[in-house]
Amino acid sequence: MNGKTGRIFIVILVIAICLWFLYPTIQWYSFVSEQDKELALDSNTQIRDYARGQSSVALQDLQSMESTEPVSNSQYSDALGKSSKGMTVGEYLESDTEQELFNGIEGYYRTKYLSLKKVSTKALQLGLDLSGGMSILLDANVDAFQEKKGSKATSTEISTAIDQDIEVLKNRIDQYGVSEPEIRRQGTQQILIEIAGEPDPTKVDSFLRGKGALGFQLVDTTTTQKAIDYYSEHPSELYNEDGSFVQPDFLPEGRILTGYYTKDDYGIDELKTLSVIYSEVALDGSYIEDVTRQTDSVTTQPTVSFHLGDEGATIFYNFTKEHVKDVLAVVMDGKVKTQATISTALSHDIQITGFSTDEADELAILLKTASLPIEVTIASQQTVGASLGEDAVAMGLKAITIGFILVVVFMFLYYGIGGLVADFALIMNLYMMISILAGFGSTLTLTGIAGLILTLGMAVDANVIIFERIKEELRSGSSAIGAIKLGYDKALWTILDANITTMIAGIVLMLLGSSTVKGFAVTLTIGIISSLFTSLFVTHLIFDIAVKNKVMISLRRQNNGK
Amino acid sequence: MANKERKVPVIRIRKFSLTFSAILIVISIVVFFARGFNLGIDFESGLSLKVQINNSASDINSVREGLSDINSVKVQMIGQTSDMTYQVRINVDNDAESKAVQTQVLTDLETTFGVGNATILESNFIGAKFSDSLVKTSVYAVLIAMALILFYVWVRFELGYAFSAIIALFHDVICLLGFIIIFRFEISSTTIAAVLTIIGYSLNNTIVIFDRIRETVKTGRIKGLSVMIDSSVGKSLTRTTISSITTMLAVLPLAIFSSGDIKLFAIEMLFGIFIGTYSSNFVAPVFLFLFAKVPGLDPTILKAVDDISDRASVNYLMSDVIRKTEAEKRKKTEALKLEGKKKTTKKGPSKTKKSTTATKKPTLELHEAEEKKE
Repeated sequence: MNGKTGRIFIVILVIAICLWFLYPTIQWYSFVSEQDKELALDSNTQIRDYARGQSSVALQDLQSMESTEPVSNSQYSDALGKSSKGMTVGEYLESDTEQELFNGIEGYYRTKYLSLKKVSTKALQLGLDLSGGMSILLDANVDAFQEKKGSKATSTEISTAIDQDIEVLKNRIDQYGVSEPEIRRQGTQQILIEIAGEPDPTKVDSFLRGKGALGFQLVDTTTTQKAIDYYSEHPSELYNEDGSFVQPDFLPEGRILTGYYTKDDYGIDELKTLSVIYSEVALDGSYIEDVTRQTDSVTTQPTVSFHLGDEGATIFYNFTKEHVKDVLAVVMDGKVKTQATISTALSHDIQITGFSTDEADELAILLKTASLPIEVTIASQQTVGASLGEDAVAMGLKAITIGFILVVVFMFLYYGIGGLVADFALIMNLYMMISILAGFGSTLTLTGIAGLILTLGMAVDANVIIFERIKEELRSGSSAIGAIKLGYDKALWTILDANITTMIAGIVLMLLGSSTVKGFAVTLTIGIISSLFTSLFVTHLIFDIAVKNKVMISLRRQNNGK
Repeated sequence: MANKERKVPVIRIRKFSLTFSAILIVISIVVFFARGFNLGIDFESGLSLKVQINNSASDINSVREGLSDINSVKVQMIGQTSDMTYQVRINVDNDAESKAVQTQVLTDLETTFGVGNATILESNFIGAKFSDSLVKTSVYAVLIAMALILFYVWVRFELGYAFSAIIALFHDVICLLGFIIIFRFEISSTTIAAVLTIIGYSLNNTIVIFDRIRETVKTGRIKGLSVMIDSSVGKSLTRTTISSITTMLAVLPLAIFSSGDIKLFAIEMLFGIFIGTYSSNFVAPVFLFLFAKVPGLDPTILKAVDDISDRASVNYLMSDVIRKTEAEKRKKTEALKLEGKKKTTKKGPSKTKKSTTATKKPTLELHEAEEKKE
């Protein structure tokens, strides 16, 4: 009896763990609106822009109201985390400074979407072939790497360079507004990038090449001061609804109002102060080579230095000799990252000094993202339209449902009540498979669905083997209890041998297969594990309990032999 | 009674099944050399576009004409004419060229069918290196999987079982590829998945049957390996049938309702389930039977080889039929002796043994049957 309680406990525990794995998936697909999903899947930058835009609009709404009106919209109180009940708009606006109110509302949206984003990473996501998207496979150009280095590179060196490439690409994600791509290594010399949705091909292209994102631009110090003064008085006028900066009327021709940023709560750039820069780019970042971060041996100050090739050096020299004593900004995707005064005309080797250690580290990383340590070429680029994916999902679900029902009905017709036990095992099997897939953060691909269906068909097999064995034992005159024990004992190694051999195939594929095959192998392997559990453990338990309570589970046709 | 004694005459009909398999394999090899694979985009470098045209006047010829200014362009229709969806394939060398060509295709189609009436649903660019490595990794994956399986079966069973199982697997893979070539199915990553699934599925079946044979050999209640094998396959028959049916039921809706790669996958699976079930029941056990006689391969199973009954089966005689007729003869002779009739019985058995299986002597049989009824 004790043993049985323990077994029941294990089954319940497994069900509970699976539910825990599955919960984010249920949450994501059932309780999040389409619009919220889209926003949550956007990059952090887009979320921030949205939050700021919403905050600006909300504050302007409030300001346009009569100051004696009561605050009715509970959103503002939610956002600020304090009750606004019984307050009038006037009192409410006075309760905090405009900047505090703005930050509060922005914070509300930020928390909302960043936590939704977390849910999405834990939910079972659809693969590119189902959701639509682009997958790009990059080959590392080892020859060019060795040529640049001047000697033969060891495999460790190549491997490190590829890892750095991946780092660089990841750092570029936000700069180029490419929504949350998956970037990972494939094999020894390849990088796989997967972008869901319908990415803009030109954006993706510049993302891969790293062109145009980083550059050096001059700062207009006079107008910068003017802008800072104005917006400290009127912070809610700073942003458009989409979170971009409003370009004020007092901006002279050829200037852009932007911000000077450091990292913030999104893990991305936070506005430190405003900055007005010239729109003309003095030097494109793609010329930057060999970025190093050092400590000056004399002054012990942190420094960042980099090298320019001949072409870049000429451009830079011609520019800097005209602008000695002016302020030059390192601009990444329209945002000022660092600014420094030009001390003299500069050409090949450039050194930047005058900041804290953290700032120097950040800048060094940033400059490094301008070019990839090891060049890449596109080995394959595949795009799947989202509409095609939707059809495939609908079809896949339909096919799974029909196949599932057919198998369930067949088992009931053939084995009667015993068939229902097998059906229960099958349903639990499906539940476990989906939970484990979600728990491991896998994506569900088309071949994955095929694997799922196949595994369901095969999962029944283990129960069939057991049932046939039990029937044999019953025919040869065993008691019900004896037949169940013998049936399971004799079937155990048959089932294990058969499944382990199949699993060997599954695991090899999982490790070596291309990404399409991998999706299939993962579901197959998970399916084998869960079907072993349900057939050898769960149904056994059900039979044992039934026999103990004198409930006979019939396996139809057992009397044929008499 | 029928259930308990059910046997499948696997060994008796082995010449038929081996001949059948040999024919299948020869056909597969012939079509391979005659036609070759219809390689999908995954395996052939170049640009492949899936385009949809929103103009009822479009058909495959007008699409071809519209694209005639592009070199080496191949156009295929996908689905039905009313879907107006086409696969366009172009040989390009690098990514930059592929982008230019893609733009050109779109412009050409828009000139032919009107601006906004052509949409690129899917675009695949595959570099030459990529397709090479895909083939290589796939083949490696299969070979490594096979080697590991061989090892596992060797450890858990014996070497003869392992060889037989692997031979059956190669048989299935070759037949499946032959089937794919004959029906001009495209070879893609999904095909690899199908091949591997069938390896897994057929192996699963084979192991279940081998497990039965191993058990029968161990208990040693029946004499003669051929009888043991026939009886083991027979005992697994219900399970084999039901499992094949359930797997087919699960795959069938996919073959009917889906499209594209997945439909091909499902059809290949259905054929694979059929061929896999056949090879587990009729090919793998036969090879096991043959390997059993090779000394040193399978020590246990070698002992099970019973010369008299196994040789009998080699002569297309079902060994249990022999024993049954022998037993009947014996009974009869005893009965005849008891009745005190003539002494023709001494020579009788050897004569009738041959004749029962060949022509069946009518008088004796009839008499016996009447007796039973009473």
